[in-house]
Amino acid sequence: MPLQPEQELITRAIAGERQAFRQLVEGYQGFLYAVAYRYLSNEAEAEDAVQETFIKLWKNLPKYRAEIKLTTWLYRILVNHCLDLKKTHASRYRQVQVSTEMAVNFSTGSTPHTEMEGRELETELQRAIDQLSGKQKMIFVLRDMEDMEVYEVCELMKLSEDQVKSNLYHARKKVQERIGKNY
Amino acid sequence: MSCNECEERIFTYKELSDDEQSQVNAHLQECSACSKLMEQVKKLNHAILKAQASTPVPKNAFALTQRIMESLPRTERTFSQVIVESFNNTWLQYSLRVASMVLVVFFVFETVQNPRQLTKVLVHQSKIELNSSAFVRIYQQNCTAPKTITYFARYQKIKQSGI
Repeated sequence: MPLQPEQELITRAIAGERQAFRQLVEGYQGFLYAVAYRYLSNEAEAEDAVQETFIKLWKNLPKYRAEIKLTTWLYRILVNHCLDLKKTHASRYRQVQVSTEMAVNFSTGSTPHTEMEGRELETELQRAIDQLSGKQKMIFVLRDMEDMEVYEVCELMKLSEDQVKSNLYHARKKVQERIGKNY
Repeated sequence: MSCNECEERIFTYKELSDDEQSQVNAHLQECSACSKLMEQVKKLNHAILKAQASTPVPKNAFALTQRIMESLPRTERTFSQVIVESFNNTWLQYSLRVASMVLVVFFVFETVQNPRQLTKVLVHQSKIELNSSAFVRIYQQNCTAPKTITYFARYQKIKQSGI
């Protein structure tokens, strides 16, 4: 079934139509999972975070305002959830160190050789990201891994541009120190 | 520009304005240490770009969707919501459109076949009887005692005068 215009799906979902909401879930769960996984480094926790995000969206859909992009709203819910998770140490799962299993579930469009290099790099980069503090990690993931604009990161993190840039500087420096020796 | 200042700007080079980038470039031409750092940061950016290309995806996207849908709390829908939702049904919408078109065609056909003239019927009556005693009785029952006496007295007076 082709994805119907977002606004129509939202309107139908607000009316309580679960099938319309399902289409929204199918459309956005991938983006959210990528951010959650890169931040939490754990498949189960990332899936839980995505699930929680959509439950919160479902509950708050009647408050939806058309001037806010749905993706922005979803990212904000997810970011807050992930930061809270780290802040309160409420992780229900053990923090799994980056393993070979981690690299298996990545979607790439490259040749086997470059794919292997990419996986190694991804694994190494993920290890470096894991060393960062909560806020720095989220800013690095959103700006560098998800390629968001600085103003979008500011909006999601509720920080000024200078604060975001400062966090980016510290995060990139730490990541560079960690993986710089590999290239 | 000092090397310390330059270091921060090297790491955030992408976020700098054109003027700031020019200042950094000018410093790099004079400072070999910062130039070396710049090369390392470029390699880091290249590595990040490569890593961006491999996006983590859920093991089983369909299962995740199912799990999310099953975990959604059930919402109590109002009668009006059910009605509105039922009108979202495409088949119902088309059926109603067809039904309304059929009715319009039927109406036009009927009007052409049997043109009826509207007639205004006037009822001619020589006199109108007012059952005023019944009105007064009800009025007496509904009104308070002092008002009833007053209006009743007025009625009696009018009746006696023969108007």
